[in-house]
Amino acid sequence: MIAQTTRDPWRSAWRFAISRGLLAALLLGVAACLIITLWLPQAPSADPIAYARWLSQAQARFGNATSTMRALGLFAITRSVVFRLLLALVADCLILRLVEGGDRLLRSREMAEPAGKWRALEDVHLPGVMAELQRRGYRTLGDAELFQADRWLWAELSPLLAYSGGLLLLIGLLLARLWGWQLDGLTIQSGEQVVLPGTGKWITLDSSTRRVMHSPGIVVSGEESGPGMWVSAVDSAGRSLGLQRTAEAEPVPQVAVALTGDQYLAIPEAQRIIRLAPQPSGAMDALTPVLVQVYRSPPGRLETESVVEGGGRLMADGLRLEFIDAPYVRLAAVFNPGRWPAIAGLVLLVVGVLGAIVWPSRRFWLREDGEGVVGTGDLPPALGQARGG
Amino acid sequence: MSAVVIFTGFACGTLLTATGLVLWSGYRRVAGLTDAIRVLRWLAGGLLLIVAALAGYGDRALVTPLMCLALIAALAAPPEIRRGSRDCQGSPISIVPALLVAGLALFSAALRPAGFAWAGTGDRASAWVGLAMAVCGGLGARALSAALGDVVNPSACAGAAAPGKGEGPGARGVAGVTYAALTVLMGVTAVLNLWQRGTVWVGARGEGGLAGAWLIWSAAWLGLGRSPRARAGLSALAALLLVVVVVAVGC
Repeated sequence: MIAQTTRDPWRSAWRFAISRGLLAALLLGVAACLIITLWLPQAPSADPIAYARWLSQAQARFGNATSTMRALGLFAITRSVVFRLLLALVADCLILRLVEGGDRLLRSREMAEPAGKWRALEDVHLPGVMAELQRRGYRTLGDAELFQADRWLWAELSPLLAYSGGLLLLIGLLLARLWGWQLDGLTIQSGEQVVLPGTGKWITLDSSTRRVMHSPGIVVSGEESGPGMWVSAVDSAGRSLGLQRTAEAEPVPQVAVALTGDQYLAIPEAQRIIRLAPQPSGAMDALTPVLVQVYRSPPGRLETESVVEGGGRLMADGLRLEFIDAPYVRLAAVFNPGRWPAIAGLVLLVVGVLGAIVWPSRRFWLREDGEGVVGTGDLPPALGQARGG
Repeated sequence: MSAVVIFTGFACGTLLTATGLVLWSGYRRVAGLTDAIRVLRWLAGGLLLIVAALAGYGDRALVTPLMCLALIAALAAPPEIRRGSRDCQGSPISIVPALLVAGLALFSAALRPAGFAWAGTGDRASAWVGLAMAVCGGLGARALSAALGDVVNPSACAGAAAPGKGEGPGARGVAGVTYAALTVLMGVTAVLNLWQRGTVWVGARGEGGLAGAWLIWSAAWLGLGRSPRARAGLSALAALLLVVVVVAVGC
């Protein structure tokens, strides 16, 4: 009778799913995607101005191939289905390896059956070797007949920490993707409070402390800052005049101007145009001097001009302009519900990887065999070098 | 001609001489040649360290491009320290990464003697990250040397390139330290990004490259295939990517 060994497909699938090779191959796939992004400029998704700039640069660089490359998703690799599928598979692998690793951690508490071929070790004195192994942080189990040496608990725990860290990081990225949002290029002036559209969150730049304050739960980071001012105008009778930023805007008695470049205001009642031009003085900051020019309209003739620094007044014919210093900041606001899981995941990942480097997984068995000592398993090089035939 | 250019030139010459001696030792066994090569490589490392100190001294920025290049070459130049193995000098190819980066430093010193600040200057934290990147790049160049030596001759210094394998300081040493340093750098940078900007990725130059290098190294650590040559090849690829990204972004 011929003994037939039947292969269990579920067991094979499980072994494949928890294999180091599969996880390594998936990591290489993710790495390949990230490396491609080094050579191919990725399209910005949030800022339309940045997108337009990117598109013109890409067309200049890749010419007619740009549209084909865009259709293939090469300019949005980290947002592509393939990349997300790879990350999902990595997460699946990490879950399975976590389950398998947890089981192994529990099973490894006790001595295991020796595995592998026994090899004779030369010049090895068992009590001396055991003492040396214990001194080097190995756990030793067994008795005089058979010893097991391994690095339990840390060698088994460190990969688990790394896998759970990686998983938490991926969960954090998923939460950010599903429920998070990012707003770039928000310009806020001192004393102004902005409510972010559709979110109910607010950001303000405190006029006295010049500190950005915001509602809880969002992260705000500054992109740039510069001069700005509140501008108002009164006529010779002390009557407040309306100011317009654009032709369509309603005249208002006071207007906030962020001096990101030259800015213009109109005072229809006084038939004047005001030009505000920040003067180059090294870095643009809140104390940058501002050139104020008053034009009569019509005919567009320069009536008067002056340099204002940190607020002040300017008199023109029958007109008094008042400037109150109100520097602006350009901000990015992010709401990321996966922030804390991601931070916890990163900490666990780093601790786990460092632990796995310091305490690599290793298990071997030693026993007396006649006059000498034999060993099996993952023998350390120090014992391996003394190995005989 | 500035002292920086002279010292960098000397370091390049010393590394070239060491490469020549390693090549020569392949044809003829001469007593004391191994020691001479070792001394020359340490000397080049010392000279490049002086260049890094001179390039960074007095500069407002924490890391200047020349300092970054010199630091990478200085970390890559010295021979491997392996317990119980004095003959493991590797092949001439193991000196090539240090020689290439030192050559780049020489060009940089000659063409841009004044240097300019690190790309992400202005923020103290990013300047420290820049310095950590330069150190990681240096360790990467060193790991690249070891990995190339293993790829060319896997039996001579087996196990040096694959982190987590083996027991001795040589086996875990260079690759393990580089992988650990890269892990810490990636982790700290990502946590800083999350803390300050709210996202893991902030679109900084080289971000994807560093993550890619870390992932390739992790794949090597997981032991894709049992072949030491395949593991060393992956480690060499990761180390090469790390060095290229650091040089392109920071130097």
